[in-house]
Amino acid sequence: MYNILVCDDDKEIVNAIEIYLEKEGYQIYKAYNGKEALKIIDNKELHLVILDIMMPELDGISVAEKVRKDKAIPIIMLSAKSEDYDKIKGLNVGADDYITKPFNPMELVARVNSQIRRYTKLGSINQKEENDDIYKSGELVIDDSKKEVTVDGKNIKLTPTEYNILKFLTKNKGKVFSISQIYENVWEEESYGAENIIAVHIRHIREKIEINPREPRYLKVIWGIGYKIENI
Amino acid sequence: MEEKSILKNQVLKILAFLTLPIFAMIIIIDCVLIYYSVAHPEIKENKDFYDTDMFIESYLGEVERKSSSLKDEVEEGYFIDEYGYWIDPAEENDRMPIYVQDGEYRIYYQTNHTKKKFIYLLINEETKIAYTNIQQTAKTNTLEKLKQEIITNNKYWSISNNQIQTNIDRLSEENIVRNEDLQEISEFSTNKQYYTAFDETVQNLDSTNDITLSRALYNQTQALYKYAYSTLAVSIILGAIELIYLIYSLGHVKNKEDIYLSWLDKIPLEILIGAYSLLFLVEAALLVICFSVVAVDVNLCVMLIMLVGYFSILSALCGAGTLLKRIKVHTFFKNSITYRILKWIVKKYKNVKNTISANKNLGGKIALYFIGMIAVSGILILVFGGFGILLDIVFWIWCYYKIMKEVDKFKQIHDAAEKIYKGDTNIKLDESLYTGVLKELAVYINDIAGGFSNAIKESLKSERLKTELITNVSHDIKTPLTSIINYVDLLKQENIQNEKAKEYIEVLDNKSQRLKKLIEDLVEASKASSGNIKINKEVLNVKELLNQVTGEFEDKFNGRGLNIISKLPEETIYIKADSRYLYRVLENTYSNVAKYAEENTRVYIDCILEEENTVAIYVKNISKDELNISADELMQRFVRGDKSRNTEGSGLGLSIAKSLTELQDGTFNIYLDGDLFKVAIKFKRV
Repeated sequence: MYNILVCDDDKEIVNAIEIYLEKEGYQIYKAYNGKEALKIIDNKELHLVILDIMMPELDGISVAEKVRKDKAIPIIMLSAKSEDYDKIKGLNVGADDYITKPFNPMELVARVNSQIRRYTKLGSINQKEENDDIYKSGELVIDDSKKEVTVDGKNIKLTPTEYNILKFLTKNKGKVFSISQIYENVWEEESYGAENIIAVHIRHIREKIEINPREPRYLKVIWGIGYKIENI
Repeated sequence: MEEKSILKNQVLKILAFLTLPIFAMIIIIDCVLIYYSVAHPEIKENKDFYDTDMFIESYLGEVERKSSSLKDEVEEGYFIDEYGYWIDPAEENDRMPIYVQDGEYRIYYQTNHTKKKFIYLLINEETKIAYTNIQQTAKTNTLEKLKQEIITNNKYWSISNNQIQTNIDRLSEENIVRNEDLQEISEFSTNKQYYTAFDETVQNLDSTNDITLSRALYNQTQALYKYAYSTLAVSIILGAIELIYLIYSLGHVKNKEDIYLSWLDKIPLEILIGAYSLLFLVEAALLVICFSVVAVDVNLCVMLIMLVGYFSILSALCGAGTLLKRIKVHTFFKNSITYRILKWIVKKYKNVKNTISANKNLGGKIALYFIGMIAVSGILILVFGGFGILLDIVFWIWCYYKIMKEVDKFKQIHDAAEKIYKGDTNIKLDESLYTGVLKELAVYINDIAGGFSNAIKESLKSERLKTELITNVSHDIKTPLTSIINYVDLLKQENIQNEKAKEYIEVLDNKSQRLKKLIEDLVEASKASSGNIKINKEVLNVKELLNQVTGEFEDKFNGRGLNIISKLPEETIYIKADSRYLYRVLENTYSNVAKYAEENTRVYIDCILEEENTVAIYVKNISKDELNISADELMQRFVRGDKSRNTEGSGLGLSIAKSLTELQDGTFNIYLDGDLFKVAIKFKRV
C-alpha cells in the first residue's frame, strides 16, 4: 500500500484524482493549500506528492523547494500554467514530472504508476548485471534475446518492423537519424520514396511506448532533421 | 537688532535732519570768519574801521566803481536812476532825473528818495553837466552848495585833472598808493571835477556801496572770530556724525524690511533736477535780497541769510538723500524720463521685430527682409562711396551665409519629416536652434513624431496586455475544465444502462475536449499575432520535414479516404526556421485539409524551388463545402469555411499558421479557385 498526497485548492479535482488513484490501490491524503501539504509531508510516510502550483497560503513551487531540502519523494506538478517557462521552472525546483491542466486522467494514472515504480522498485533493477542483448534508456528496455520490449515494466507489443526501428534507435540512443538513414540501416538497402512509411512506423511506435505521444519521453521527433531515442 | 532700531528711530532721524543744516551753517560762517580774521590781521589789533586798510581799500574801490559807471554815462550820454536802471534821454523823457540849471551848468539829481551813505558829484567841464546822488533841496541847488555838502563830511575825497583833495590822511596826494584803480580814476578826472564822500550818519538802506559791507564784516568778525575755532571743531564733529547716521539710516522705516521710497523718490530724475535747479535759483535770489539788508542792520541780515541758508541746506539734504536712496535701490537711472523713453523705444522696436517674425505671411516677410537688404546695401554705397562697394560685397556674402544657414535648418527639418514618413518616429529636433516659422515647424514635427511613437508604443502595449489577459483567463478556465473532463470520464466508467444518458455523456465528453483545444488555440493565436513568442531559427531540411509531417497525418488522411500525392524535388533543400513552430504551421495546414477536404479525393503536396531562392510548399485539396468566403477572411481569427460551425476546430488554425509563418520571416497565403483550396507557404532558401 503506497501513500500519495494530492494537493490542489480545487476540491473537485482532488476528489476526482482520489477516485482514479484509489482504483489503482493507493492510499490518498488530501490537502487544499501549501501549508496543509507541508504538515502532511512532515507527519506521514509518503511515496508520491501531486502538487498544484497556484494555491493560496503557499504555492506549489515553494512546497517543492521545501520538500527537496530533506526528502527524495517523487513530486508531480499539476498546473494550468502550460508555458515552457513554467514547466522548466517546476522541473528545476525539484519536481519529477509536470502535467498541465486539463489532463487526461489515464495519463495521470500512468505517470503516477511510473513514478511509484521508479521510486520503490526499479532502483534494484539498475543493480542487475548488464546483458549484451539488452538495450535501454530510462525505463525503456529492449531485451533482444527475447525480442521483448518493456516500458515502466509493462510489456509492449510491436510489429517486427517497428521492433527493428526501435532497436536500431535505442542501440544508438542520443543520436539523431534521418528517415533515409533509418531506412538504409534497418532494411539494409537504399531508400526510394519510402520516406513516409518510416514516419508512419515511428508514429505507431510512439503511440505504443509513450504515455502521451504528443509529448514523447523516449522517441523524440526533431522536425526537419530526423528522429532519436533520448538517452535517459 | 539694536543697530536696526537706531536706524529706524524716526525721532532721532528728524532731529538729525533738522539740526544738520545748523551745523553746516556754523561751519560756513566760522570758515568765513577765520578767513577774514586771517586775511585782515587788523581785526585782531582792535583798530577802528576807518583807520584800517580795509576802509581805505574799500573806499578807493567804491570811488573807482562809481567812476567807471559815471564814465559810461558821460561818454554814452544816458543817465542812471537811483535803483541803478539805465535811462535813455531820447526815449524815456518821463523817467529822466530832475535837473537844476546853475548858470551854464545843468545839475542832474540822480536820486531823490533816499539819502546815500556814499555820495558823489561829477562836474563835466566840457558838456557843463553835473551828476550827483545827493538829494535836491534848497541847500543843494547850486554846484557850490553841493561841493560844500561833500567837503563838510569828515570822510571826503575829490580829484580834478589828477589833483587830489581829501581829508582822509591815507588817501592824500602824498600817501595814496598808486595802483591801477587810481590810474583809471586819474585819467577819468581830466576836464572833470569828481567829488566823493562817505556819510557815516546816514542810516538808510544803502547796498550800493562796498564800504558798509566791509564795515559790517569787520565789526562782526572782530566780535566773533575768537569763538570760531572751537565752534568749528564741535560743528564738524557733530555734523559728520549726523551726516553718517543719516546716510546709513536712509530709507529704513519702522515695520519695513526694505528701503522705503517716498513720493520724492518716485519723481523722475530729470524733473527732480529741474525742480531743484529752480529751487536753488529762488534760494540764491532770496540770499541776494537778504544780503542787501546788510547796510541797514547787519544782525537782521545775518539772521535772514541764516534762515534762507537753513532751508536751502535742508532742501539740498532732501535732494542728496533721494539721490542716495535711488543709488541704494538701483533706480538712479531707471527712474528717469530718458530711461523710460529709451525703454519704450526698445520695446516698440522689439514689438516691430516680433510682429515681423510672427507674421504668417512668409512672402511679405521675405519681401521685407529683401527690401531691408537692398536698403542697407544702398546706404552703404551712399555713405562710403567706392569703399561702400567693397562693404557691399562683404554684406551680400554675409547675407548669403545667413540665408544658407536658414536653408540648412530647413533641410534638417525636412530630413526629420522624411524619417517620420519612412517610419522612424524616434526623432527629436532641438527647437531652440530655430526661429520664427522654422521653429513652429520644428515644434509640429516633434509633436507628430512623439504622437506616432506614442501610438506605436500604446498599440504594442495594448497587444501585450491582451495576450496577458487571454493567458490569465485561460488559466482560470482550465481549472474548472479539468474537473469537467475528469468527472465526465468518471461518469463514462460508471456502468450506466440508460442509452440516452450514455449519449448525453458522449456529447459532454466531445464538447469538453473541444473546449480544451479551443483554449489552447486561443492562447497560441494571441501569442503568435502579438509576436509574444521566442523564435529560435535553425537550418531545416524541408523534404525531411514534409515526410515526417505526412507520416504523422497518413492515418488521419487514410481514414477519410484522402490520397496524398507528394511531389518533392530531387535535391536536398534547406531553410532557416524554428522547427517546432514550422511543424505547428504544417500541422494546422494538414489538420485543415483532414477536416475540410472532400472525402475520397487527392491531396497534393508540392515543394518547388522558385526564382530568387524561394522555397514554396503548396498544399492543395478539394473542399467538401462550397467556398463562399474570401481567402483573407479565412485567415482571420474565428472564421471557418462552414458558417454553421458544425465541425470541430476553433477557427484559429489558419490564423495561427499565418502568424507563426510570418514570425519566422516566411509568407503564408491561401488561394481559392472554385472548390480548389490552396495553401502556399514560402521561405527563403539557405
